[in-house]
Amino acid sequence: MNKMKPPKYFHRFFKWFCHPDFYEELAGDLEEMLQEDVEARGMKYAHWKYRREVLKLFRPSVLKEFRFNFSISVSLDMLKNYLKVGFRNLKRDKISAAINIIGLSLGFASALVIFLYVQRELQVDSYFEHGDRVYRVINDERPHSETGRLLATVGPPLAPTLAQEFPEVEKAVRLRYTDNVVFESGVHQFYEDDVIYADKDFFHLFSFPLAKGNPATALSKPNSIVLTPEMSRKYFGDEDPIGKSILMNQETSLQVTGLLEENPRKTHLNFDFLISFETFRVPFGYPVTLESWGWISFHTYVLLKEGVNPLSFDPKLADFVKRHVFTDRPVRASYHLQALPDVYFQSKDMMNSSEHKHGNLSYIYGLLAIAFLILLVAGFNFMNISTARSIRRAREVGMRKVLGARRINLIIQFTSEALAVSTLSVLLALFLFELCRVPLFDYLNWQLDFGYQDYLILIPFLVGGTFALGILSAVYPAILMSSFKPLNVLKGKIKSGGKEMNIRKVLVVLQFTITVGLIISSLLVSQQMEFIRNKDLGFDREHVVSLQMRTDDFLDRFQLGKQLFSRHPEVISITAGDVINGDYGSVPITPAGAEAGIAMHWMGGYFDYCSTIGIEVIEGRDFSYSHPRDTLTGIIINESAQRALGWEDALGKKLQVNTNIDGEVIGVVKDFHMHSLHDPIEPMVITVPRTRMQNIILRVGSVEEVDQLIAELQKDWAQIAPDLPFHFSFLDDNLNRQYESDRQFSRLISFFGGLAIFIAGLGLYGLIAIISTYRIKEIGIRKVLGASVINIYFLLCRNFIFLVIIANLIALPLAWWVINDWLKQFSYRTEIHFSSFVLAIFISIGIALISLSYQVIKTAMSDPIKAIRHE
Amino acid sequence: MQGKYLGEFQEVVMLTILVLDDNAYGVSIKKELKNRLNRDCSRGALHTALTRLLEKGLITSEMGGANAKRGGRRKRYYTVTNKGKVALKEAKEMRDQLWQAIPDFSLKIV
Repeated sequence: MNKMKPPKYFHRFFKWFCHPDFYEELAGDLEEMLQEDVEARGMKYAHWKYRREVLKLFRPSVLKEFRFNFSISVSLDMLKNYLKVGFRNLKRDKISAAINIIGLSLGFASALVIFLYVQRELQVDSYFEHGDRVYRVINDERPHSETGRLLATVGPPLAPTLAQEFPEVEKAVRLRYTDNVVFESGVHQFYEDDVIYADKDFFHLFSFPLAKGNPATALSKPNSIVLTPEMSRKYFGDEDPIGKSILMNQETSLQVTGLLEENPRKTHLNFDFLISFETFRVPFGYPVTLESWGWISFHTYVLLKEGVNPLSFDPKLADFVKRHVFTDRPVRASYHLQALPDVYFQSKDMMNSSEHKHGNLSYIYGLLAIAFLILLVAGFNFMNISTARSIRRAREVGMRKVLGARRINLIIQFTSEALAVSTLSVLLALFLFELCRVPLFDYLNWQLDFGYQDYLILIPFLVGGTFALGILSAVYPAILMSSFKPLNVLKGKIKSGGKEMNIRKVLVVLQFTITVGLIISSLLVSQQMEFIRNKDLGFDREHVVSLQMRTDDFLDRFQLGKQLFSRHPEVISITAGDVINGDYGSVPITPAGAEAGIAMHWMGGYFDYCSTIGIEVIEGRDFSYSHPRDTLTGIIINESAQRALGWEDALGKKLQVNTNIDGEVIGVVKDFHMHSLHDPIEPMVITVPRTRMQNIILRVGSVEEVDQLIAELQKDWAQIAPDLPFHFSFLDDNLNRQYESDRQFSRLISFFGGLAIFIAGLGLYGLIAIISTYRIKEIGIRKVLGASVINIYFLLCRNFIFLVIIANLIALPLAWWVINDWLKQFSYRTEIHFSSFVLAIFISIGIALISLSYQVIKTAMSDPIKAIRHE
Repeated sequence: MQGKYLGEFQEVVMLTILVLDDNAYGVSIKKELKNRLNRDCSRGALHTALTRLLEKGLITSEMGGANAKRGGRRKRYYTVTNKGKVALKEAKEMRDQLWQAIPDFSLKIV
C-alpha cells in the first residue's frame, strides 16, 4: 500500500506537546485514521481531519508536564554550577573570552554613547513647565506665490496684538536675535553673537530656572539684561553680577537683573544674553518701525490657555492676519502655529531659522542604525565563537544529558553563561565609556555635559541591554549545543560542519557586509569633504582676512586703518563690507520699467571689494575709488542675476534695489559660491551698503607667518579702534562653519566604521584560532604528504576570503545607494568614483587577511609530527 | 464519590469496549461509536474519557499489535476490569429500578 505521510508541522507540533506516555498510542491512532481517511475520502480531507484531530488533542489530559520541567531548571544550586563551569570555560580559552568581551564591550560602549546623544536630542525643549502649550507663529507665503518663502519669523506688532485680541492666548513673546554686539564691563570687552531681545514674559513660556533674580520681572524694564553663568564668569569673574552694569555697543548701559542657573543647552534657543525687549531700538538705516507688520524678523511664541486646540486656532489666525497684516501689502501669506517640539526638528528649511539651533532627525536615525549595526557585529562574534567552540563542550553536554539534564536546562545553562559574559562586557563598557567620553565627545564635537547623576538614567538601558545582548547572542549557540545527542557525543561522533557551519558563514558575511558598508560610506563621505575643501569657490578663501569693527564712524576709522595696514608688505589690498558666510538679506530687484521685482541676495561691499576677495569680474569693473559715485549708484551683479534678468549685456542697465537704491550695473562677476555647496548659486547683487559696514577685509599675500602679521595688525588696531575688541578671522573659518554638521557626520562614520572593522577583525581572529585547532591533524597529514606552508595558508584563508568577497558584493550597492542619497543634499558634489569601491574591497580583504594570518601561519608552520600524534 | 459516578459517554465507551471484545483500541472504538450510535467524537475526547476510566480502575490497557498502517506504532488495547463490569451492572440496575418505578401512563407520548 502506498503510505500517506501525516502533515509535517502538525505532526511535529503533536509530538512536541504530547505526553510521552500517550505518544505511541495516539500517534498510531492518528496515522491509522489518516490512512483510512485517505482511502475513503482522499488526501485533502484526510489531512484536514488530521489537523483537526491534532488540535482537539491539545488538551490537559494529553499535554506533557511543562511546569514540572521548569521548576527543576531554575534551582539555585544548578545556576551556581553553571556559572562555575562557565567561568572555567572562559579561563580555559582566554582568547575567545577576551574577543567576546572586548567586542561586546566596544559595541556596547558605542551604543551607550549614541544612546546618550539621542536621548539628549529628543529631550530638547522638554523641560519647560508649560512647554506643551507653547507654539511658534510661522509665516508661509508659499501657497500664495511661486517665489514665496516659508519663514520662521513674523512682524514685531504680531505678538502684542495677538495677546490683546485673543482670550485663548495667555502670553505672547517676541524674540529678536542680534549678533556682533560689543559688551563691556570694566576692563572686559568682547564681541558677542548670541544675544536675544525678549519680551517680559519670556520666562513664563521658557521656564529656565534663575539662580538669581525674579523671572517675572527680570525682563520687564528697559535696559535689563539676564546672563548665563558662563557669561557672568566671563565678565564678572566670581562676583555676584546682579545690579552690576554692562555697556552695550559703547552707548547703552544695561543692568544685570538675572542670572540663569545653568547655561541653556537643552533648548533650541541659542543665547548667552537676554535683553529686555523694551531696550530694542530699530537699527540705524532701517526703513521700518516696531509697528511694521512687514518687518519679518521676529520669532514669536505664544502660550495658549489650557484646553485650547491649536488646530481650531489656525483659522482665527488667518482672519486676524487679513484684518491687520495685509491691509496695505501686496504680499500674501498664511500664518500657522508650530508646536514647540517641532521647532527644533522641523524648521531647518525655514528662512530666518538659522539663528536658533536645529536637530536633525535623519542624523538621529542614522546614529541609531550605526549603534544597532555595531552591536550586531559584536553579537555575531559571540555567536560565531560560541558555536565554533561548541564541539569542545560537546562532552560536557553529553555528560549532563546522561545525568538527567533536559534540553531546557542546557539552554538555561548556556544563556546564563552568556548573561555573565554580557554583564562583564557591560561593566567594561561603562569603564571604557568613562575613560573615553571626554576626548570622544570632543572629537565628535558633541556638547554633552555629563554628570554622575546621568548614570542613573542609564540604568534601565544598561540592564535591558545586558539581558537583550546576552539572551539574543546566546539563543542560537544554546539551542545548537543542547541538541547534541548524548550517545553520539560520548562516542566522539560530533563533528564541526553541517548546519552550524552554514549559519556561521552567513553571520561572517553579514558582519563584513556591515563593515564594508561603513568603510565605503566613510570613504565616500570623506571624499565629499575633500571635494568641499578643494572646490574652487570663485573667490580666494585662504588669503582673505576680516576684522570686525562695529562702530558708528566706521568709514573714518576705515580710512585710518587702510593707511596703517597698507604699510605691511603682506597686505595686498583692503576693502570693507560683508564677509562671505552664507548669511545675506534677500531683497526685490526691479529693472527699470518692470513692474514686479525678482528676489535676489544682497551683499554690501566697498571699493575694491571684488578684487580683494578674489571674485573674478568678467564684464565692466569693480567698485573703484576713481568713480566715487559708485557708493550711491554702483551695482555689481553675478552671472546668475544676469540670467535671471534675461539680459545679454547688463552693463549700464538701470536697476532698483530694495525700493530705496536706484543705480546702474557697473560690473558682472563670475558666479561664485556665496552659499555653502549644499545650495545652488543664486542671483546676487552687490552694492555699497547704506547701513553701516562692520568688517574691514584684507587680502594678504602669504599665510606662512600669520602670527607675526596678526601681531602687527593688532598694534595698528590700538590706533584705529582702541575702544573696540580686536577680532580677526580668515574667510576659511567662516566657510568651514557651514559644514560643521557634515564634518561631524564624516567623523562619526569613520570613527564607528573603524570600530566595526576592528570588532569584525577580532571576531575573524577568534574564529580562525578555533577552526585551525580542529583541522590541525588534517594539516599535519597534508604537510607530511608534501603541502607547503603557502598551500596550507591558502587552504585555510580561502573560505573566509570568499565570504568577504560575497559581503562586498552585497554591501557595495547598498552603500552606494545610501551615500548617493546623502550626497543629494549637496548641490555640488563629488562624483562617486569606481576607485573608492575598489579601495573598500582591498581594505576589507586586507583586514580579513591580517586577522587570519597570525593564526593561520602559526598553524601552517607547526610541526606535523606533533599534530598527528596529538590526541 | 467521584469514582462511583459513571458519565454517560464513559458508560457508552465501556460498553463499546465490551462489544469489541479483544479488538478494542482507539480507532476501533471511535469507529464503533460512529457506526452503532452515529456518534462522532474526536480522538481527543475519547482519550479524555479513556484516561478517566483508567484512573478509576474501570478499564485496563495493554500495548500490542503494531502494523505498517500505523507507522509501525503499537496499539493500546483496552479491556473492562471486573470493577468496571460491576460498575456497568450497577448503572444498569439503577436505571432499571428507575424504569420500573415509572407509572405506565407517564410514558405515554402526548
